[in-house]
Amino acid sequence: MDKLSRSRSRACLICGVVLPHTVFANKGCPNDGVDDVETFTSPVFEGIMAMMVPTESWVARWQRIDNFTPGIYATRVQGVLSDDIVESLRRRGINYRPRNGTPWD
Amino acid sequence: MDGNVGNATPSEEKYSSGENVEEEINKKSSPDVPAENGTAHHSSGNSEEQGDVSDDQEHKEDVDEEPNVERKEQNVAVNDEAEEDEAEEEEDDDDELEDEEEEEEEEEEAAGGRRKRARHERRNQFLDIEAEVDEDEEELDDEEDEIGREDGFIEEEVGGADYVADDRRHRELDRQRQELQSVDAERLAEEYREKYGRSQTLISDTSNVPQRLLLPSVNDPNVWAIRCKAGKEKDVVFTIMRKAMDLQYTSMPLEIISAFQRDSLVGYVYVEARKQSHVLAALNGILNVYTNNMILVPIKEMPDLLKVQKQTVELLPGAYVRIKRGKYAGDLAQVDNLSENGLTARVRIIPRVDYSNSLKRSKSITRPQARLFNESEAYKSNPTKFYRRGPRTFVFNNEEFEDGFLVKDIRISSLVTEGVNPTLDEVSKFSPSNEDLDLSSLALSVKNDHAEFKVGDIVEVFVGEQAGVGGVVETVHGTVVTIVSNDGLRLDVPSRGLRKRFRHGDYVKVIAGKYKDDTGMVVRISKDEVTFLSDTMMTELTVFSRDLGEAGSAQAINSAYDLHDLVQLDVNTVGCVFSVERDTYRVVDQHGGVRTAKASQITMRHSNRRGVATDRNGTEIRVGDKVKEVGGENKEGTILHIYRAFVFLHNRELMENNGVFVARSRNVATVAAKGARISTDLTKMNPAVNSGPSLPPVANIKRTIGRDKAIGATVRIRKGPMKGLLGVIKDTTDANARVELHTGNKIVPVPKENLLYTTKTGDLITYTEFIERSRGIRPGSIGNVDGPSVPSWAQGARTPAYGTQGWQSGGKTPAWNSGAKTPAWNAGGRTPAWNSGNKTPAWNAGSKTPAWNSGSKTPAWNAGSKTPAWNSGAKTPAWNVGGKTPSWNASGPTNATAQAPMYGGFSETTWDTDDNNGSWAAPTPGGWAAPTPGGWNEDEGNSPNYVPPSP
Repeated sequence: MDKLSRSRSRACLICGVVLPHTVFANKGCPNDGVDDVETFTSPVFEGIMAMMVPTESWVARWQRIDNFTPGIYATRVQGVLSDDIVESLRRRGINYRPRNGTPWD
Repeated sequence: MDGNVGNATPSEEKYSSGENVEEEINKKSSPDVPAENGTAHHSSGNSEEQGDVSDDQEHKEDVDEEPNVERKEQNVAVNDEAEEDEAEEEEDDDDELEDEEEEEEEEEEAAGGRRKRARHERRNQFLDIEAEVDEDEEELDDEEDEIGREDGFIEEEVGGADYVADDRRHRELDRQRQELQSVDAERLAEEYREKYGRSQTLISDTSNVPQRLLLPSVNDPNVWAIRCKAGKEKDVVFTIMRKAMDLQYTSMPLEIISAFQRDSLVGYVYVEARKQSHVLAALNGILNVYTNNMILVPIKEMPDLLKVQKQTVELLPGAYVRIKRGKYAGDLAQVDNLSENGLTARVRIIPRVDYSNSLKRSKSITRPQARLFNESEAYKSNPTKFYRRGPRTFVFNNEEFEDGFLVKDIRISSLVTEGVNPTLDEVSKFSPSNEDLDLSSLALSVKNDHAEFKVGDIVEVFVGEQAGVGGVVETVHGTVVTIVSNDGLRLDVPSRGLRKRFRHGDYVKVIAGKYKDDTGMVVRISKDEVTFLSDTMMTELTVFSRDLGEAGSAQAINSAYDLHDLVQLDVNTVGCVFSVERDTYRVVDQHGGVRTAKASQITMRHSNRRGVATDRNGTEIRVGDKVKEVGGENKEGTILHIYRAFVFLHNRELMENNGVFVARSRNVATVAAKGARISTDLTKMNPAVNSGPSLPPVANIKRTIGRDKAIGATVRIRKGPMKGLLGVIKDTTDANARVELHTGNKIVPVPKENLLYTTKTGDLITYTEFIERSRGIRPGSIGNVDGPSVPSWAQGARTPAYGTQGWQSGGKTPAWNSGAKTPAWNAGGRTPAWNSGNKTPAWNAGSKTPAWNSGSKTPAWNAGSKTPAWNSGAKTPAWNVGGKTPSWNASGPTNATAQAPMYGGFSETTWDTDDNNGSWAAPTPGGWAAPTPGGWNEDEGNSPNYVPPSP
């Protein structure tokens, strides 16, 4: 199962989903659809989560990934999106919260 | 729904032969669904399902998986006798992820009927409820068709399709309603929840709710911590995921909800599940997990697992790291640059190169000494592997060396980035000797991440359940801070969860970091970043609130030297600081030059605030006085410092050098003294003057009878602390006059002989003269009055015969008596010669020497000298013409010559021989000595060396 191979996998800065570089590039992020790998994903992440049932999971709720698809997620992803990207995401209805470890309110 | 399908199935079977017709009808009867599209879609959808099912779909549908399978089994049973081929069944299997809507169709398919129609409706899986209704409609449609066919109305329907469709729609709707009602209410609810519940609740839910409201409750699944082999946590999590996906569509899917690990929690994986048995089942058969070591994580501790345990130091170029493995294990390296993806860092290491001949090089056991790269040795060692790439860049053994350092790209994971603690010795090797250490980058690697809290700090909890609570620090024990919240509650909070809270306008001081000791006013706060306006740099700086403290006073406690400090720059240069920039200072030196000095270049600070000088008028000036330049730019300023003959002034309105400038004390004039100063009389401090004979007591002057004529006279004080001030005499006693000063509106008592009286002609005369004049006595008679106390010499000078002619009018006598301000001198103003900065020549020029000498035997000397004006003046001839001069000078024609070259020769010795010393000195000390104390009396025979009475 190549989608779980750990090499060359990247984590989405928006939702934290961990997928191989190629998947991001070809299909985009399953949750928010972004496919600009270099901008929206980071190769440095920590805290691997295997999320089977996000709807029921407290972990997912705490991480705010409970409305996303099941899969591998990262607790913390290094990197932040620039302000104008955040703004454009907001216009698309995506409320971006950095997953780089800075505390959420 | 099942019932519905069950109804439909037999009829379908029955009319399976009429498939084609039916299809046609179907197309016509549902014009809103283009058949071609449907088909096309069907085929594509089909292939997708058969092939790789997209993750999306897969996950979305796995919830429905179970019932689906069940139903399908049912189907198969029901449609046992129906004609169906293997392929179809296979397809069904593939389709097991489809939604409920499709199930019905699948059942129909299973019955072997109208695959195409069923298929092209499948596209509706992506549409919402309307689409679903549509579908039902069509289902009914089918039924109707069938009924129609039964009745033999097929032809008719085909003909009037439109009309019939319209009519049918109404009936369909009715039926559909009935059917919906008949469906089990509970099932309906479930259906709705499934369809809308998820998306609606979740999106609005989690994205806006503060995290503290997401804390786990008893209703949430439990989390178990399971020991595993250290370092294999990620593998375990991945394996669990893989296993979950493998078993997802089997009869025994994993029932756990999630599994995770944290890098900071070594040796544990965490599994979220409803039941422990689910965890055990999930972990069964997974390597490196020790399920007999399982701990249920208390609900309270669950958030801690997901909280960020440690903030990694973000690597920046210039930071110091250590190499984890390999030849350079433990060596210090400096980050040169970071790769874009943040995975590798280009670091500089002090190379450990083995220069021994590489051909016969065996793998050396001891690692080579770390020292800077030596290109000549490298070349000697193996010329074939040595390239020069730049002036200081080489490649040797496929490694790049720059400036002696090895430059290497290393994965960040194999670098130690925290707790590097480089020693100064190590660091110094990295910094070029001529440059200062970049201590800021050093601090970055050494930095303690925790804020320091002091008792009384106003803080705010920003993590954990108490997030948002504000309070005041009560005690600090290590990393646990006890705060008293605003509600009066006492809380123990780890210091990392606290941040200092500031408000706009707070006056803060930086207590750590690059801007340490800077102060300023808070202008902006965002989370834990505080922006303040720096006092010293006048720019906005942003620092972390943990690095800030409340500044006690509104003073820039920046460093050793403050703004406007007088600092010693080198042995004979001082300067006044006019701008402070962290550790550099902008300084105006005593010559008016501007320079930039580092703190290390400043020797000391002058803290003497008691300097005194005299301005060009001889008035005492002190620090804080307001003075004005005379000549030059006429700048005004407040005295900051007095240093020798220089005054450092400050005027806020001047832009240049922040208003600090320097002037010579003799080039400034007092504008306003600080306060009403009663300063000491400088003449009193002069021992030479004090020791000299005093003036004849005023008491000797004959008392006037009746009202003192002096009352109402405008006078100028000629001595003492108030020297130079104008006033009006209000009252007199024998010795004193009460003078109302023009300035300051004060009445002060002044000895009468210290006053100069203004005559009607505007001349200034002494008291004695004034009295005499007012009495109508010629001044010459004074000599008689004075009697023996008047020196013979002076007497001579004042004899009417002598004085009345040229002298008295010109004021020879006053010149002698009144010292500095005698009318003779004052003729051109007040002693201008005197004040013009260079006293000695002026004195020489304007005053007596030439006069005396010119009359006598040293014409050559005088002629060439500076006093033509004087000599040519009206008075001199008179004086000279007077018969006495020769005799007077006769006492020492030789003297004259002897004195000629050296002015000082004129002083006492000469006069001593004349035996006139006492008498000569007696009348004139005030006048003479006062202006010239230092030079005259102290430095015998060296009078040109006049030193002003300044300190």
